[in-house]
Formats: sequence, structure tokens, C-alpha cells
Amino acid sequence: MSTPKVIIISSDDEKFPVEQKVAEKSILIKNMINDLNPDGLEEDFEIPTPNVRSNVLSKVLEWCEHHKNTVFADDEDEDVKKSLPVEEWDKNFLKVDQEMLYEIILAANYLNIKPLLESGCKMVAEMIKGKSPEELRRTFNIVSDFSPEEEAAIRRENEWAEDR
Amino acid sequence: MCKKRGLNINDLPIELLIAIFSELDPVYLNIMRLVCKKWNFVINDRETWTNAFTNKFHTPKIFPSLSSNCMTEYFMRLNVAKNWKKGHATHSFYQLINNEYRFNDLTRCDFKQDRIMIFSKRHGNITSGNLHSGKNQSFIPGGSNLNITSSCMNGNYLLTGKLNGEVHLKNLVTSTSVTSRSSYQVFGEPSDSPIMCVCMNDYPDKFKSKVDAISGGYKGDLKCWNFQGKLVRQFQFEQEVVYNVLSDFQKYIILNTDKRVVIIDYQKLEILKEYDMGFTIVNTQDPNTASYYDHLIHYKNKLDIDYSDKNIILCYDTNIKVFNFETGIERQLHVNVPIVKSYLQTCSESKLLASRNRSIIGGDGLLYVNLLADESVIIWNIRDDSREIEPIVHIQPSLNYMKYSPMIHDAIVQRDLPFVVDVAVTSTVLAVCGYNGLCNIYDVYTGKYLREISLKFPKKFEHMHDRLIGDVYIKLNPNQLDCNGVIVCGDTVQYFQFGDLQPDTVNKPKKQKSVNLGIHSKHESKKKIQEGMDEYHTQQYQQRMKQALLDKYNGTLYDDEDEELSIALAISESYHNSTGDVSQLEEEEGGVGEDYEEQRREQEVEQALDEDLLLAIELSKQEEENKKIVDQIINGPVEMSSSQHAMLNDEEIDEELRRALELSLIEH
Repeated sequence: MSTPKVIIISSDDEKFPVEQKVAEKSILIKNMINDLNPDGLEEDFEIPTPNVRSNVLSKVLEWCEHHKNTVFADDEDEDVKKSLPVEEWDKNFLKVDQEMLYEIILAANYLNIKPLLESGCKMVAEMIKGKSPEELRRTFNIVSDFSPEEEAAIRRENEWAEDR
Repeated sequence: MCKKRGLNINDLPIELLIAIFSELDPVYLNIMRLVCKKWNFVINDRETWTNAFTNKFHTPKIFPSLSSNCMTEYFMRLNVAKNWKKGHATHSFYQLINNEYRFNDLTRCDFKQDRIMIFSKRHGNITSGNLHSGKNQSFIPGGSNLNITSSCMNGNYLLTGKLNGEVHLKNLVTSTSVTSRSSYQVFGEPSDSPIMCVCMNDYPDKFKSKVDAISGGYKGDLKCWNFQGKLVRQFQFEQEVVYNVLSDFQKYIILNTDKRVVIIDYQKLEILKEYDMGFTIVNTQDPNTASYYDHLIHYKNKLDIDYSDKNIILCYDTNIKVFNFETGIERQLHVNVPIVKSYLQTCSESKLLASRNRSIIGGDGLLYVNLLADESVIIWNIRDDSREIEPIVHIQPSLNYMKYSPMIHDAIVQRDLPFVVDVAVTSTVLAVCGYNGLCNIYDVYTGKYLREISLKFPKKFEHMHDRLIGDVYIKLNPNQLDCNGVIVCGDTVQYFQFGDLQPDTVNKPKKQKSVNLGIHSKHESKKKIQEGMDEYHTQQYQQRMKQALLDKYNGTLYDDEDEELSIALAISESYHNSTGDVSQLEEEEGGVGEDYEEQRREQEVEQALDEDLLLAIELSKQEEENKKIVDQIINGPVEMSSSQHAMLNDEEIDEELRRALELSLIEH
């Protein structure tokens, strides 16, 4: 008998059978497996993820597959890790349209995959860096909801801060 | 759920936006506030800033803030960190020539006034000089009646406690190396209770009536003195030794005995609270040996007080204990090896005295450093909200003596001495200092090695090369923006500075030179001080008067409407009587402002102001005349005396005058 698999089901009912090791990159899934199978997996185990669409889930699982042997630093070492730039593979992997990127971030947050979430956040932060407010609005398709007075007030605060 | 077309960044939940923005360098955050309300909201969230700071500086949630503004804090930290790390280094070496025995029991470094003072309690001498160059050295001899057990010193006074229970106050301004007259006052009678600790007010009461000096004795006597030498109040703690006493000379006097901490209300001189320390200070020395009291004082606990957040910090043996005397919370930490040295973070006085500002970025934290017997150093935050004391870092520093001098290295190893002798910490760095002034700098939050501070002493300081000097102190500038400090090795001092100093501190030394003790004759320096004081008082007085005047004209100081009316009347009347006579006007106005006569000097200053005033009056006069014409047109020729008219219009004129004054004062 082959080793039992974890079958993750997307919101649109697509099934993704993966190795346990891959699935356990998600702390949410890992905890679920451990809680429901205290003696270890004996047969295939289905987990529905009603928040994640199939195209996003396949992307997330692709990441898990690639990193199945990567050892991530513990939370305690977070200080050291945080200042590191995004890994090259992750960078290429996350070169997707904005909508997809947000969905991956949301999924990583929901499934509790910290390293992926962090890479995602860093990618977005990368897009923000060094842009003017107008450029940022264009980049992220945001409409300013400030009245001219409010905007002026913030500008004044900023100037005041920089003068000091 | 994600079927919706065009998922926007703003569809992400707030906590994810915070996570994203936290990845950014704080420099971008302010600009990003302008994008939209949601972003502004997220960025105004403290957590975003705190996280961004953690990313950049590795600071924990609560750290010693440098500024009240996030952005300013950021730039300051950036600058300070850069200077400590790679700022251009300036060093100067000098020897305090009069400190021939190289005993250094009390070192006081005043970075603002550029002055170093070293007190040797064996000889009672004080050597002082310019801090950054060692120039203008002077010497105050101690005299013969010694047996000093404890001491404290500020720029003007030296307070010493004696073995015979007396307390001596020495005025350092009037005692010089030239006169043999010993200008000290003796407080109290000789007794069999040697003084264990003393403390005094750096800003003593002008009338010498308030408690400005406090001494604690071996027999449990705590005495509060004023500077006339009068015992204002005595407390007795039977069967206990008063080991330490400290006070802010505003609200609290805090002392500790063998087993408890006592808080006394400074104003009422009554005991407010007591805490059991949770450990006892023991002493195994035979009371009959000569060094008994020295031993006692040397091995007593360390007491530090953070008045602003109301924390009492006690360090003894392997115990670190913090009592918050507002909330009553006790926190502690047991270390595995005895504590060798304990210090509060080097910081400005106001940080310890003014009330803590929790709302600013970093929460206005305060660090504490302990050097342990295994030569490791722990740094922790007194003001963090953890339930027990949790060190931020625990570093095992290493000092490379081999590079300095193999001989020194061998001497230390042979005698099995600790490599590390002294430590100091600021909001950014930890300085670790060893024998002969060897010194390294570490990052406070990561424990990362940053650079070596010290240089090898130049050849002319030969004793620094062939002898082991353990009397080493490191002092850093309390102004956290300046990256400088001194390493004092016995009588030899190494001043270091990384990067440029803040402009106002650079200029100061020049001004202060003239006030150096002992260099100039007593008379001259006294005169200078007097002049300075006069000038200061004049300035203060003028400012106060101006404020009072402003208040008057703004109407804030009026007691009631009647007074306001009468003053308004007086002003308008004076105008009517004056007919353009300047001096009269001034005099009349003088009647309005309190004690205006005494302010001739101010009048000179305010000449410009008076011109403005005249102009304003001129204007109001014209206006009034216009009005008169209008009145006449409307009401027909009505006979009206000038004073009656004034009655009607006085409020208007008053208004005019007030506005003019206000304007010119602001401009002024």
C-alpha cells in the first residue's frame, strides 16, 4: 500500500492529492491532521479549504512542493530572518498579477504558511517602495478619498516631522 | 469568496496591510499616508511603525525613544546608528596630572559643560579639567581629616560621609588650589554610626532651607539636612543599616536597608510605603577588622530609581528586583552568577524625572545593564510590560588583549582576572570596557559587535603599556544623539567621538572655559558667575513681565469685568490726554502694566514695539475721527465732550490697542 495522501479540496471542489509533508507546510493543515489522526495517517485524508479557489490552491501547493525540504528559521530567529530579501525562486514564483498575489497572500494567511505570507508581503512592499502617492494610487488602482483639506493637513504634518 | 473581479490591495484585511507596510523602510511610510484614508489609518497604527522599526533597528516593542515623533525618531536612530557603526572617529588622550596616586573613586563627566572631575576618597582630592581635551586642569586638595566612607559630587559641591558619622559639604566653587582655607561645612556631631551613603540635590534651594542633602548611617539613622547644616528630619531604622539613599528632591526619598525598601515623601517627610526586598544583604566580615566598613560599602547592593515611571531597581548578588511604587507590581530575575556591576541606561536627567510618555513610538522605554561574574552582559528594559524581567540580549563580549599587548594579556590570564571591567549602555549601544581601557561597542538590541572604541595609548603614556590598570570606567554622553564618551583608566583618559556632534554641544565648551574652577582667581570666576546669574535673572524677569503684559492685554488676567473696564478706560483716557506726546503715553501705559517703572531696560528692548503701538494708535485715532464725522452726519450736530465720546468708544480703542500689542509682541 502506498503512503496515504492528503487531499485538499478547493472552494470549487477540485481535489489536490499531495504528500503529507507538502501539506504540512500549512500549519493549519498540519494541526488538523495531528488533531484528527493522533496515531498518524493510515489512509487518505480529505481537507476542504472553502476559502481558496483551485487556481490559487494549485499555486500555493506548487510553492509547498518546492519548499518541502526547506527548513525555515523558527519564529524566535525572526529578527534575523526578517531583514533578508525575498528568495530568488519565490520572487519568480510570485511574479503574478496583483490579484493573484493578493489571493496567494490571503490563502497563505488562512492556511498559516508563514514563509509564503512573508514573501508575499515583501513582494507587495517592493512594489510600494519609492513611489509617490499618485504613482501608488495608479499602481494599486486606488481612488483617493481625501478631501483637499485633509490631504493638506497630512502634508503639513509630514513637513513638520521632516523639519525637525 | 474571491470570485469578485479585480481584487484590490485594499480588500486585504487590515492586519495583512500592517504586515505588508511593516516590511517597508519607515522612510516611505509618511508619503504613503497620502494615498487614501485606509492607508493613512493603517500607517497611523502604532503597530505598523513598531514593526517597521523592528525590521530596521531590531528594536523590541518598547525601547528608549529618542523623540516623540515617529519620523524624527527614525531619522535620529538612523543617524546615531550610522555614527556608532562607521562615523569618523576622533580620539584624544590626556593625563590628569594631579591625580598622582591614580585612585579614582568617583568620576563625574559633564558632557554639556565639557568637564571631567575625578575624586579620590583616599586623599579627598578632586582633579578636574576639560572633558574632551584635558586642558585647563585644576586641583582641589582634600586636606587631612579624611576617613571618607561615602561621597557624591556635582559641579558645585562635594558631599562626603565620614567614618565618625559626620557629613561634610564642600563648596567647590570657592575652594581652589591656591587658598589653603578649607571651605567645607560640617553637618552633625561625631557618632558611632559611620555614614554608609549620601546624596544631595544638584539644584539646591537658594535659601538653604529645604532638604538638600541626605545621609544614611550604619546604625539605621537617616538624616535629612539643609545646606545650612541644619538637621531637618531624622528617621531611625533600628537594627538595620541604611545602605543606599536616593532622592529626586521633589517628591520622593528612597532608601534601602538590609531587607527592605522605604519610600519617603520628600515634601512631608513621612514614610509613604515599604517593600520587603525578598532577599537580605548579608555581611560575613568581622566587624573588628579595619576594612570592615569599606568592605560593607563595597559589597552593598545597587539601588537605582526611575522616578518618571516609578520603578525602583535593586541588584544584589544574583538578584535583580524591580518594584513599581505606583502599581505595586514586583518583577524579578535570578541570574546564575553574581552581578558585578549594574547601571541604568545613560540618559538625560529629564528622562528619569519627567513623566513617562507611553504614547510615543517605542513607548519611552528605559534600559538597564548588568555585568555578571561570568563576564557576560545582560540588557533588559525596565519599562517593558512583561510580567518578569526578560533580558533583551545576553552577550558574551570578548576583548582582544593580545592585539593590545601580549604582556597585559598574560598578566590577566595568570591572575585569572575577568576580561571585562565596566559597561555602559545608551538607547543604541552597549560599551564594554576592560583593563587599560580596552573597549568594544555592541548593538543593544541584537548584541552584534559594532566596532572597537579604544586605541592603544600613545607611547608617552608608558604606564598604560607595562602595568595592569583595572580602575577603569566608561562614560557615554547622556545626549543620545551624540556618539561620544570617555574611558577613564586611573588618571589617564581617552576621549572618543564618532561622527559630528550636535551643533549646540560643539559650541558650548568655548563658552564654558571661563568658568573652569581654580584656573582663574576666585574673585574673577565669582564675578563671572554673578554676571551670568544676573543676566539670567534679568532675562527671566523680562520674560515674565512680558508674559504678564500680554496676558493683561489679552484679557486673560483680568479678575473681573470691572477691572477690565477700568483698564480700558484708563487706556483710552490716556490716549485722549496725550495728544501725541510719546513720553506721556508711555507713562500712562506704564500705569497699566504692573511695575512698569522698573522695566526701563525692557522699554529699550521694546522701542520697536512702541513704534508699532504708536502707529496703531494713530490709525485708531483716524478711525475714530472718521466715526465722529459719520456720527455727526447721522445724528446731526450733537454736542459731545471728548471724554464722553471716549466712554462710548473706549471698548473699540481697547480692542484696537490690544490687537496691535498682540501683533507686535508676537513679532517681537
